[in-house]
Amino acid sequence: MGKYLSFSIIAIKHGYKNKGETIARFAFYGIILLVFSSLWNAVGSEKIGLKPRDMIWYLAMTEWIVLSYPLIHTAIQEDIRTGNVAYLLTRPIPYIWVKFFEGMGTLLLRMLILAFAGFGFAYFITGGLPTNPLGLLLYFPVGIFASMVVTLYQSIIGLFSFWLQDATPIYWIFSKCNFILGGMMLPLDIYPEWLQKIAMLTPFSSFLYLPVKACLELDASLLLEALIKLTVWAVIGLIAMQLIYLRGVKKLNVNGG
Amino acid sequence: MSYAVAVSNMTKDFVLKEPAKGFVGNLKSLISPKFNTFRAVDNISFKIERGERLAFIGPNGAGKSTSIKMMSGILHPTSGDISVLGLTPGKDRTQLGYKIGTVFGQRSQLWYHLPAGDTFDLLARVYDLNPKAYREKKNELVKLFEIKHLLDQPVRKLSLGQRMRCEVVASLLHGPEIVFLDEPTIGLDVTAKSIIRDLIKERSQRFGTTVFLTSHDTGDMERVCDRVIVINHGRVLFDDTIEKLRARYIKKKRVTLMTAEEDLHFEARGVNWLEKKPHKFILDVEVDKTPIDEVIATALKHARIRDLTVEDPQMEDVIKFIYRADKE
Repeated sequence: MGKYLSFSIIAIKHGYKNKGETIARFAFYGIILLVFSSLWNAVGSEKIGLKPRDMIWYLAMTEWIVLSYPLIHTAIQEDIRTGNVAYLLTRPIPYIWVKFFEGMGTLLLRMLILAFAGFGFAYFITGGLPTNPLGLLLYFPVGIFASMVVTLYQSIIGLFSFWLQDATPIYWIFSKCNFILGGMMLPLDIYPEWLQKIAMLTPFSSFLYLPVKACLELDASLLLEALIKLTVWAVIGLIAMQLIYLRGVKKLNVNGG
Repeated sequence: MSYAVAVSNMTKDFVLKEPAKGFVGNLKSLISPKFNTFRAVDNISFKIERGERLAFIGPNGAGKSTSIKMMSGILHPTSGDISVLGLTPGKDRTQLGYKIGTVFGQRSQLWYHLPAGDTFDLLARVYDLNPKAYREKKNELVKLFEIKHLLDQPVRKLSLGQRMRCEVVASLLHGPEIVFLDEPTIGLDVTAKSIIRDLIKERSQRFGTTVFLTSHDTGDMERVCDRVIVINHGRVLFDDTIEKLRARYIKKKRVTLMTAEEDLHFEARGVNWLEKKPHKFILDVEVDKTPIDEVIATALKHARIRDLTVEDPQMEDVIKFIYRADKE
C-alpha cells in the first residue's frame, strides 16, 4: 500500500507546484455560486423545499465534489496519445492503480483548497452557515468519500481510451448524468417521481444528492442510505475497473510502434 | 546457455480500419467497416547473450519500437515466442518489471513540475528498494551521469539533453539486468548524444548489463554496441557484428568543410563533391579508398579549415547498400 500512497503524495506535490489550475477552479467556484445565488433569489427556492440559504449551501456542497475530482480520463488519454503509457506499463505495479492513486492525491489537494473557496463564498453570499451547521462538519468526511468513489468511476472512463484512444464522449455522458441524475444544481426532490426513482437507481444520486441532502438535513437514515449506496457502488466500481483494465492492456496499441 | 533474450518467430499484426471516402463511404463504413491487417513485425528470431549490447536498427516504421514493446511486455505478439531473462513478457510483466529498465526517447517518466530527485525517490518505492541501497545506487549514478546540479531543478527547466540523462538514471536505479533503449538520442544535439552513448556503454561494461538499443541513427549503434540487427518492413536484413556491417556496408562518410577561403577543390580516389558553396563544401568519402584523415590532410593543403563535421551515412542509405548487396 505504501508504494501506491507514494503516487498520491507526489501528485499532491505536483499539484501544489502547478497552482494555475487550482486558482482557476477557485475563481470559477466563486462565479458559479454568485450566479446561482442571484438566480435562486429571483426564482425563490421554497418550491424545492429548502430555505434560500440552504439552497446556496446545497450548490456549494455538490460543486465541492464536482470541481475537485480529477479528470483521470484525460491523463490516461494523454499517456496513450504520447506513448508515455509504455514507461508506466513496464513497471512492477498496475498502471490503473497508479493513475487512481495519483488521482486521489490531486483530489485531496483540490478538496482542501476548494473547501476554503466554496464554503467561504457560500458563507459570504448567504451571510451565515447552513441551517444545520453540524451537517456541514459531517459533510467533510462524507464528501471526501463520495469524491473518492467518483474518482474511481473517472478511472474506469479513462480505461476506455485503451479501445477508443479518446474517452471524452463517455466522460461527456458521465458528466451530464452527474448534472441531471446526480442533482448537481437542483435537489432531486424537484423532479417528477418517475425520474426520481430512475435517478436513485443510478450511482449519480449517491455521488451528489444523497450525501449533500443527508448532511444538510442532518437526517441519520438518509446518511446511512448514502453511505451504504456509496460503498456498494465503490465495490462494483473496483471490480469493474480491474476487469476492464485486464482486458484493456491486452487490447492496447501504443502509439509510436 | 541461458540467454538474456530469446525470440522465436515473433510476429505482430495490427488490424486497422480502412478509411472511407465521402459521405456515403463514411455511412457505409459505420454500418459495415472494412479492416486491413498490417504486419509490423514479420517472423523475427534472434538470441541475445547476457551482457551483450545489441543495436536493433532500421528506418522509421521498420518495426523496431513494436519489437521492443513486445519484449518489454507492453504489446502481445500475434504469434511466436519471447523469453526475456527466462520470463514470458506478456504473462509475467510484473516480475519482469523488477528486472528490466526502459528508456523511450522523447517520452518522459519524470514529473514535469518537480525536481528529478522526487521521481527517483518515487521509483525507489515502486521497486521496493532498500533505503540504504537506493541512496548508494543513486549517488553512484548521479556521479556517473554528472547530474548532481540538476537534481533540485524542476524537470520543466532542464534542457532535452539534461532531461535524458535524468531519464536514463531513473531507468537504472533498480539495477536492471537488461535495459531496453528506444531511440534514446532522438532530438539530441551532437554533444548530448555523445554523452548519453558513452554513459550507457560505460554502465553496461561495468555491471554487465545487457543493452537492447533501437535507433535509426547509425552513430548510436557504432558507439554503444557490439552486435547489430538491421530490420526493415518487419524483417531481419542483417544480424552480425558492427565490424562486419561497417566493412560490408558502411563504406561512406559525409564530410562538411567550412573554409576561410571562398573556393576549394582537390581530387582524391573515392571522393565525390556533393555541394560547393562559398566557404562551405560537402563531400562523400568512400573510406576504403581514401581514409578520412587523408582527405582532411589534403583539404588542409588547399585551404584553412574553420570547421568540419564527419557524419555516418543515413540509415536509409545503409539499408539501400544491404538490399543492393543482397541482389548482387
